[in-house]
Formats: sequence, C-alpha cells, structure tokens
Amino acid sequence: MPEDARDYYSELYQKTMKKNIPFVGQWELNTNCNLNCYHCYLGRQRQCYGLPLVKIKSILDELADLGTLYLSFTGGEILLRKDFFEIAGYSRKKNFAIRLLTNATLIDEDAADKINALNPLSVDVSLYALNPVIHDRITGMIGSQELVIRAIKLLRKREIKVVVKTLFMKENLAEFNPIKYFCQDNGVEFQFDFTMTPADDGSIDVSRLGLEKSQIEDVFSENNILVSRRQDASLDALLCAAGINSFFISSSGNLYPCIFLKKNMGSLLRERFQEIWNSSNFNNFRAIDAQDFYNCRQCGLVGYCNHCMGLSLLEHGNLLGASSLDCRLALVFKNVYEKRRSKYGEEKEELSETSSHL
Amino acid sequence: MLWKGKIPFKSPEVAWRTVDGESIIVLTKESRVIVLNEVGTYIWELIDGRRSFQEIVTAVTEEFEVSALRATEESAAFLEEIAAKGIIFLKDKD
Repeated sequence: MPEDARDYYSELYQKTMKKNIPFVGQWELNTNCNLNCYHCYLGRQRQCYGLPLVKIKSILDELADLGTLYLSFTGGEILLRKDFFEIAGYSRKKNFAIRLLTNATLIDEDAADKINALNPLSVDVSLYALNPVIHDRITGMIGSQELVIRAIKLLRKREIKVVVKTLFMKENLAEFNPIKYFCQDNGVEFQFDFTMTPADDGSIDVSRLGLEKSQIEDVFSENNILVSRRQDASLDALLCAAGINSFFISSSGNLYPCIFLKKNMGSLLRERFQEIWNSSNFNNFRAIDAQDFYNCRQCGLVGYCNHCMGLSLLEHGNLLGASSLDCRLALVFKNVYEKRRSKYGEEKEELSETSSHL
Repeated sequence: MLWKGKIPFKSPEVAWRTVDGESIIVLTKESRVIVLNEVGTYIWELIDGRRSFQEIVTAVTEEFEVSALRATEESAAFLEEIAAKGIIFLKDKD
C-alpha cells in the first residue's frame, strides 16, 4: 500500500546513471540570434532556424517515453522562434520540467505572461553588466541591457524564478559586485563563470578576452567566495553525466553527449533517439575510463578540477587530454582554497567542503 | 470522508516522469522533488482529472488484492499527503 512520499531522489538519479536513462537534456532550438555577442561559442554559425515543429513534437514524445524529465531550451535566442510557445507548451503537456535559456531582450508583458503559464523551473538570463555601455558593447546591440533589466523585473513580478548567468571577461570584471547586488535586491539567483569556451570555428580569441589567473583569484578573495575541494580526489570523480544520463540536441538535429562535447553521435533526422542513444557510438563513449585521462593521472589538482572532455576535444582534438582552461581554473581553486584555509583554519575548511558557486 | 464524490487532478505546476516503476514529481515553483514508491506511482498515474476517488480505490483494490476498506483508507492517506504538498487538488464530480 502507499507509503509516505519520499522527499529525496538521489537514489533514483543514480539509477538513471546506471541504466543510461536519458534523464536530463538540453535542446538548442535554433542558433539565430538578435544579438551578436563577441564571446558566443557558436562563433559565426548562427543561422540555423532549427527543426520543424512536427519533428520536435515527435522527438519530445519519444523522450517522454524514454524517461527524460529535465529539459533546457537554449539557442541562439529561443524567443525568435515563432512557434516557441507551442514547443514549450507541448513539452509541459508531456510533463517535462523545463528551463528556458534566453538573452531576455524579447520578453515583454505578453511574453512574461506566456512564460508564467508554462511554470518553468527557471528562466536563465544572460546579463553581462549593470553598466549598459559595457553590456551593450559585449552583446553588440545598443539598448539590450535595458531590455534585459526590464525582462527580469517582469518575470520576478510574476514570481518566476530567474537565474542571471554571467560570463566574466576582462571587459566586465568590474561589474561583479553591481550584478551580485542587483540579483540580491531582485530575488534573482546569480551564477557566474570564468571559462570562455572556444568557438568551433576558432573565431573567439580566448586569451585576449578571458581573465588572467590572478584576476579570477582576486574575485574569489575579494568576495569571500568559498571554493570546494572534493573529498573524492580519485580520477573517477572527473567523469561527468554527459552521455550517461544526459544529452544535447543541436539545432540541426544532431545528438551529442553534451553542449560542450561536440562529438556527433547521430542525426535525429535519420534515426530515432533510442537508436542513437543505444548505438555503438554512445556505448564506446560510455566505455571511457577515468584512467584513460593520460594528462591527469599524476595531477595534484584533481580535487579542484571540473574536468571537461568537451574542452579537451576542442583544444586537442581528442577526449582524453586535459584542457588548459580546466587546468588553469583548478589551480586557481587550489590557491583560493589554500589561502582561505591558512587564514581561517580547519573550521572554515569544513564549511568550504560543502559550498561552491561553480 | 473528504474524498468521497471528488475527482483528484494534478497541479499544473508539477512536472513528472515515471522511471523504472517510480514516479519522480517536481514542484516547479519550489524546485522540490518527491519520489513515489510503486503503489504511490500506480495511484499517481491513475489521477487524470476524470477518475473519481472511488474509481481509483477500486483499481487499487484489484491491482494489489487488498480489501476495499484498506484500499480506501490508504489511498485517502496517500492523496491527502500529496494534496498537502500542493501536488494535487480536488474537484467535484459532475
């Protein structure tokens, strides 16, 4: 007979990993965008208008049958699709838990009402600066920052969860505190990152735009941000869920393990999701063992590392190397962690084991 | 009884999926997650905004081969618990 509903799900999540159930997905609905951000990982490939609605619905049907629960819709700019609300509405009808990733410039009162009716988990908005001049310079569109701020306020007025996502670069580093306080004042979650992803077409000069190691360390120190050190510092901890229970669908219908891991496993225009998901392509990928990460075997930074096979693929052309971006960030985390430990001692160290913004 | 003559329906604010015989329910506004066991999942999947409480009890009685009284009491307890969490609501039978 019915027992009490259980308020946890880690056990079930582990089951999705063990059984390779495609539980978490990200779907790039289109790549066309009304902005022209100079750091966009899509580079110059921003002209894909995505799969037709009927195809998207049939894939959603299949994903629901296969056990997918979490779906994030990203672009390009998703709201440029005239059928976006039909796609999102259909996905809710099929009981997916959805997140919307948007530049927010197209969210007016009407769009905010429609988003509210979808009951999304969150709307994740890119905001680069409270100073409109800086934000607009990054996005390449004058007036874009004003539109983003307006959208955030419209969403919050409807009590929709908003997550501000900011990539910090040389250009907007000074905006860290203004964005942080804006988020606090408006009940918005603030997520930030320092890793610029190289574009597939090589059009982003990461070294010119990205932060120096010392600059990232300063952000952590000045803002008293806790960095975690994994208890499990074995190589196995470097493996992620990409391709295990999560996936990425590109705007052209190709299936990948992750948005950052551009290893094309097959086309959903030619095969069903399940056929690709259970194919030798995916199974070979899943057979990768952490011991295969040849650059990481002797590394002392494993406990601090957010190892990404996708970055390695972009940088070295193979999945098993170590991305210099990851190595650099792991070193930053180690330095920050050790400085904090020497300043506050073991008591604070315990706190930092459980807290991380990244 | 509170449930007699009522039809339970799912909140539009939940997302859910049944994975390997267990339903995982996400309360989207709170980002909270609840996992149901096998029987809870069975009842959850019967809740479609059309079946009455009594019809659900009948199905539970047959599926799990228990007495009508036990099925009624335990189904009501389960539904009350998830109703208290805002996952389902009740409407009157037409």
